[in-house]
Amino acid sequence: MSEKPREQWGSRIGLILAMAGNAVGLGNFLRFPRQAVENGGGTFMIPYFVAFLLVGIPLMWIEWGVGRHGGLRGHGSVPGMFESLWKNPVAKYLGVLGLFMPLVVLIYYCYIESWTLAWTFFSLTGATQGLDQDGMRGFLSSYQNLNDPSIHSMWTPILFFVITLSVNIWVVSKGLMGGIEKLAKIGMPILFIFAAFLVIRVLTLPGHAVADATGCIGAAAGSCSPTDGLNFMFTPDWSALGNAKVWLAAAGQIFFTLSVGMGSLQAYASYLKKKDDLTLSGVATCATNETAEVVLGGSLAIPAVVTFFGVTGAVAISKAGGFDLGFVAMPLVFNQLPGGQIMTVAAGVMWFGLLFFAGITSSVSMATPVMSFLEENFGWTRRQSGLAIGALALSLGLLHIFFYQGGFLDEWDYWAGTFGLVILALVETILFVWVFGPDNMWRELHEGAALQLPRLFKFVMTYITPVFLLVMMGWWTVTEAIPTLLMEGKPESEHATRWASRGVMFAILIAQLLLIRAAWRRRAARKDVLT
Amino acid sequence: MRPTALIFMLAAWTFVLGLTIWSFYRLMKTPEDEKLPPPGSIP
Repeated sequence: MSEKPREQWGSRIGLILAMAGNAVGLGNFLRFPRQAVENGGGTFMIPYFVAFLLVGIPLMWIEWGVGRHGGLRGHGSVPGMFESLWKNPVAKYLGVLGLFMPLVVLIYYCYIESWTLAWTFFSLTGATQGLDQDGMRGFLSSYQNLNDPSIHSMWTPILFFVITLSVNIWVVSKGLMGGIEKLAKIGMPILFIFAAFLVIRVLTLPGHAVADATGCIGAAAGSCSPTDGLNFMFTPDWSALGNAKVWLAAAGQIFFTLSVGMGSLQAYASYLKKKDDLTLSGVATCATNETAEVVLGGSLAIPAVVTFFGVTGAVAISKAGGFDLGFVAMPLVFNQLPGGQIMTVAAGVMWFGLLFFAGITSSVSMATPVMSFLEENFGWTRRQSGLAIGALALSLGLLHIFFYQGGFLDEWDYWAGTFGLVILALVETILFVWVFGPDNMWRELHEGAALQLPRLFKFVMTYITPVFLLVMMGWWTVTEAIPTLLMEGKPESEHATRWASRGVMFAILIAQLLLIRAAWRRRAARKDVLT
Repeated sequence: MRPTALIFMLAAWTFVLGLTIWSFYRLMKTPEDEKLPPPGSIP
């Protein structure tokens, strides 16, 4: 463990904005609206908020509690935090999940984040103006596929990825207060201002003639409006409430949107002081994220796309994937906005700018656990650990750029960015609640608390949250993990790339396990010298 | 807008906006150095 004093947050608002910035990501604006329309519309909100209360907020408190408990004992990453909760040699190795997930997700997330930076630039230069739907899709496809230089040179995605990664590394190298907190204080207000402007612009759009107006109020006249989009998002389908898949989709969305199970919230919380509040601050973090998701995310993409493509068109675009919604449909909407070229440019820059800020405030948090681990266990400086992670992310990120079409990124996204999160959340819940003890957990959460939690939540965190997570993991194992492992439905041509992708992830996991062993040997050696 | 959609939308918005405003109001009301006593210390 390093003897250097640990950094601390400069202010409570800085901490909450950084935590909320961690949670508010691309999924708030691209994944949430799709999940809502595919899982019962308005009725989706019922399981969504139930999951928020039974899994989301409890996990947020658990992660803040695990982080602060470990941080006060000198641990800024999950291996040490787990060991401080469970005095067993296995604990630190279980904590590898809290290094593996954020590093793996950071690498591919930065690549996706670089698209938003690129599209901000393209919006500014007018590169996407005048394109029709096929043209816009070709524009995105050429960017993603290096073998298709019809529109973009192969260097374009590489250049934007290098810039995005450099900005990330520069921010994290500046430290907690000077880098991450400052970014959150600048980026989060900009994100909310951009989103609020776009929501007002979208919701005040007049009706628009569409090819297929089925499902719109103005169907007889062949036109759709933003109200039709809101109807489409929020009209309840009561039959969905009896569908287990809808409940699990809602729980999954809550899980992803709050960035729990990643290791990054714990790393941020490790910089809290002993008497810092975490109950009320945890609620404020969750609430900020939910406002960004439900109020802003829910009022942007779907109402805008329904207005210009109708409900039928929006469903087709939504089914084509979240990226089509954000990178194909939205620029097409902006091309048709009243107000001419200035409005097209402004809306494009704001939409992709807000996605970029949502992305970067999340990605810098993912770099923090591994950097803390290297600094505290191997005596590296912040700059050295930042450069090391930057070099690793650059080399492995290039694999994503080169092999994106072969499913390289999909594999990382599924195993680390989806399935792995539930495993870490389940393990930490068991350790913090069951091994550390429900009474200790409750006392730890209320140390310096500005909000006394209702005792009902002690019961929820002890029994309901772990059972919910177990059911989620079991369901996903059967319905998704096994078919994904066996590559069911994936073309033969992608199998080699996908296996290589898994091999790289496995190598990262093994390397991190070896690093944990080396770190603990160094600690033991140092202890021997001191005694 | 359909009444049921409007009710669901307003309920969802009220819940998240209410929670946000309430939590930030409570945070602003609580000075950073004034905290609840540890649990169990109040008889």
